[in-house]
Amino acid sequence: MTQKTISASGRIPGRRRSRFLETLRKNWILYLMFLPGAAYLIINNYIPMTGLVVAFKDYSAKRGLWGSNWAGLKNFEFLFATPDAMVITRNTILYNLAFILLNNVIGIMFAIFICDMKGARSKKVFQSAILFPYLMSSVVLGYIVYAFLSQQTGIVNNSILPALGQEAVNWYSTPSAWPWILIFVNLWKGVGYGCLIYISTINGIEPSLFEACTLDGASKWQSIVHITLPELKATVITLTLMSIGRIFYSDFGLFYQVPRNSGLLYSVTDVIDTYVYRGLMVQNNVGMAAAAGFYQSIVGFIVVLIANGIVRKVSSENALF
Amino acid sequence: MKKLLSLLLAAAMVLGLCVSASAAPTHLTFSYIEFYPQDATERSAVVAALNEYLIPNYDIEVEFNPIQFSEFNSSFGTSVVAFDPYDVIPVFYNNVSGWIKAEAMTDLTPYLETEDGKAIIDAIGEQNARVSSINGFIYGLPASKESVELGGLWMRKDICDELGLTEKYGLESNKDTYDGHARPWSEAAEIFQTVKDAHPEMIPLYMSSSDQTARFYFVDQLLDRFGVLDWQADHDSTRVVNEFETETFKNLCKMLADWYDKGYIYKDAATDQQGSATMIKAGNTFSYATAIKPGFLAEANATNGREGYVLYFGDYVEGGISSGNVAFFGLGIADSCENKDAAFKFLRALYTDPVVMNFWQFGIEGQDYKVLEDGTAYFADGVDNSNFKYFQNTGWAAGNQFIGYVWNDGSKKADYWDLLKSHNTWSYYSPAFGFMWDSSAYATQITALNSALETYRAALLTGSVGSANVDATIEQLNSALYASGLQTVIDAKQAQLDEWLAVNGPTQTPQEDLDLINSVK
Amino acid sequence: MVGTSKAYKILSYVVMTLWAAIIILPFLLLLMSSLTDEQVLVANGYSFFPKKFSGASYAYIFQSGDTIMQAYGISILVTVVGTLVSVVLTALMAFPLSINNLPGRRIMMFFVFFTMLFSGGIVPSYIMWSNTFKIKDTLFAQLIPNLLLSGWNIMMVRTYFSNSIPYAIYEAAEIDGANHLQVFTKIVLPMGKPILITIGTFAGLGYWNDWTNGLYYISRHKEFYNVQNLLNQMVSNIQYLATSTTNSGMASALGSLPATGIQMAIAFVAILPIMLIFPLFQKYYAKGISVGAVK
Repeated sequence: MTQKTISASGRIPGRRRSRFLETLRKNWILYLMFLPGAAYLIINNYIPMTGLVVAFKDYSAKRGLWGSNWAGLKNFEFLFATPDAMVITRNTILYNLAFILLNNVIGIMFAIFICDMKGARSKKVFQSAILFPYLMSSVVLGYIVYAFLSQQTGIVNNSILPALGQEAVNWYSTPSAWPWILIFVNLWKGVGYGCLIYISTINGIEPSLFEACTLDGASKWQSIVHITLPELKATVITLTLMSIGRIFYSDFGLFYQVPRNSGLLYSVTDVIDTYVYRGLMVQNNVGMAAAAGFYQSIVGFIVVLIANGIVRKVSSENALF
Repeated sequence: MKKLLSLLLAAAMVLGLCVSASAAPTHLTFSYIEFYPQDATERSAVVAALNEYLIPNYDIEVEFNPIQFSEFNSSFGTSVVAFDPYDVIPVFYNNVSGWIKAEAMTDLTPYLETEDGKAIIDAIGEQNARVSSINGFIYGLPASKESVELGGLWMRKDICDELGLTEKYGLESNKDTYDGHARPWSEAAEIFQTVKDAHPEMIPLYMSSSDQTARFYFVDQLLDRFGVLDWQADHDSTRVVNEFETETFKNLCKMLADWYDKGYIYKDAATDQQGSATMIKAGNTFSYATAIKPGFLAEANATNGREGYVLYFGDYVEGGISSGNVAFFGLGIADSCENKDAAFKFLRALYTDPVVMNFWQFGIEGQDYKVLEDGTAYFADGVDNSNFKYFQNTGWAAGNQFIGYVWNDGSKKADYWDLLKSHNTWSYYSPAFGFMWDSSAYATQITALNSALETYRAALLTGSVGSANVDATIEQLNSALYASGLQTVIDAKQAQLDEWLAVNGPTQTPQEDLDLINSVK
Repeated sequence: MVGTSKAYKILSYVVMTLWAAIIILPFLLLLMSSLTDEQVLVANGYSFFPKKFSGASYAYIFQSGDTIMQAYGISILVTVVGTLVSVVLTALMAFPLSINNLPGRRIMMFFVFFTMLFSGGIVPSYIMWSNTFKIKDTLFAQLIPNLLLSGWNIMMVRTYFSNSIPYAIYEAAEIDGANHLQVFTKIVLPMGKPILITIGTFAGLGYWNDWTNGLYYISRHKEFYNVQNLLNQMVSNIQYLATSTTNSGMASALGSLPATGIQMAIAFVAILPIMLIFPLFQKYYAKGISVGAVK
């Protein structure tokens, strides 16, 4: 809209400009509020983005980001021309989809449960508890999981499996178990985040809506379907769209520390971020690391544009942009 | 805090005096890896004392920049390739190629022609001074240390004594100098079985997820292991081959898998990150495979908190030396350094001047350490391993420790450096010694190859795949490697090596080394 | 709220209690391993009921000087200041974005959203912050890069504002002659309290848990290290030493590093304060939700 106004201002200068000034005069406080944060984002996020140009360069410290020689698409080769490319792309996308789906569904379920609790104390206890795992850094999480799953010293192999009369399992060389382990660990750590937002949203729902529902004799399930979920829709869509934009990124700690970088598990634990880390960060190959970042961003960007387009078609008021 | 201030003040005054006495000395930052925690106040005192010596003698004023090993592996690299101002910096042969590619390092070739360079060459030899080079670009100087890796076992003394292993193998406390007698690794199985029979709850052999191939056999890995010289088949071969298709590799994997199946090897070996000391301290572990050198036993006993014996194992009486063995850790000069001549002069001091080396390694004489009657050094009175304020103990990672004091940890005598040098003579040089291949044009392949190797390495080399799966797993490894471009890399490596050989000729093992080796054979 | 059946009530309590147990057990294991005698830990493995207790790990931590206390100080200072600034900036930014008919809003939205998709990578950011802004080795390094504003939080707050605050209230305020700033302070902030406290929590956790800023931007003045930096430095020293091709010097350096029990103890000590503060904070948070929301 604004662009139209500005570009049109050339044609009928006087009137258009005065409308622009009018807008500014009316809303200057709003724009001013936006300014400090915008300045930070420009510095912290936008200026370093110019560094993505390194993805197309033979980076040299001496010549700097711009002075380095062009390398064409050479830095991207490793993302497509190796046998691992398919595996890491597949893992990254599938895990993210599973995470988005599960964290949303279970997060909403927990939020509804907690909001319906009558006791103020139990509400508080559960609310605190679900966020606790969020406090644990991935490194520590890796240790904890190891404490459960280690072959020689782990609790599962030492206490639980023998009690059930089962053989010990060498978890760190059993790839088939890891999709479940990682999904569970991610849920354990991350579900509180979304849940907290959903609790906050549910608490903001007009109570009269529920009251009306009760008067109609609706069951709990019906009230969830007809009131809670529709009210949560905007939040769910926003959160999901934002996650989709990062579908090519992953929580490095989860995929690196938790499986302890065990080689036999790479087929199911390797994601783009861990692959790049192992291959490139150690070698300090700036160009190839930038290429990976560029690829992740661009694809995420395209995917989110598509997703947003679909949302706009279906319910335009919930589209992000 | 007050102490720190007063010390800083004192340092500043000392510096101030010197500045007024002559023109300002060149200020340099000396970055090095600090492996043991140090007291910051004491470190500043050492720097001040060192500068009192450096300024009049070298016209250099130095500032220490200690970095943690974790930093070295993460943020320091970023900082170097971002062209932050550094002077003398630590280099590690495994990740330096990225720094060279980013033009963040200084080529030392012309500096070695200067007077300072000649002094360094006199101290560590032409061969070693030039070994840290890729495509003729000398990126650093290697640390002086034992460069041959002779493998063997560290075993618990009490268990050996109890089970009669001590007499059977002629084990002695403090006997760790190599005499040309190594047992084939296959014989170690007997020891493990004996231990297992007597102590079923014990782990006979601890192994971890780190790469321990070099404890069992030597091949010239030619930097990255993708294409090697199969020294086991032919000491003089210059044909680049795939290590993972050699009989040597297969046999090792089979032996380890057999050990694993029999319960000799630690079950969590493929993912373990604890390190041998933790395991030995805990008391449920009998032995671990290690590289052995003179003086090793006392160091290991201190680290492990238990008494042990060592026994050399290997299929040859000699070990092999490749470029990687010598170039491992070292010191180089960042390209961002503004006064490279002075930085190189400081490197000269670290390689030729005992005073400088002793200051950096051990601190201030009388305060941090004292010199004993026999000319060795040890902690000053009232200081020990648990309460020292300054003790780097990293001569093996940077500089020339052979010029400094021998650290007398109870087993070492004044002639220790000679002992270590003679340990190095039990070695046969790889014909490609001095050659380092330039992989920068093959970054894509190397990344994929590393990933393919890492997928199977730990499982194969800790035996945890199990005997039944060894052949199939090796086959999978090889097909993954070839799919990732192994042949391209081998061909490129061979071409670079041939070119290098045409100019330099194959490296010969010194005659005295050959004589020593042949005297035992 | 809707009258709920007994079965539903039981189900919700059972599920949440189970989940709470699943959450607590790992923390308990962390605590127990930090209190287990080191030799028993390595030899007998991890257990909720260790055979032999030992406080040696905690003794080690508190004997190792005031480093940890200093790091705590940094963590607390940075978390408090960072969270406050972050919440204020986020609210200021989200408010204009929540006003549907503000000219240029879509572009502004996209401006924020875009930052969530693209990042320039560590090297360009590093060069800018350390060379241009010279924040290396200052307290600002812990405070400013990356953590101050997150596109996520801004989007969340603006969604909340626009969904939960009826536009009619703005119109009414405008008729009363209030300007945008007054609307913001008098209406939006009080009504938006639940979401602001929520994102404040996230920002605070972000600051408390962060170790990357310290790792990259603190190098010669380690007194600016926070608790996570200390923990991370120790753990990654061990990892790098244990997993790289080692020689005997590296093996003995590894042997001198703190054992598993101590790592667990430091991890626990790093979590403890926030676990203690959290319930206190929760009070305001819960109040924010039930009182502050639209009634």
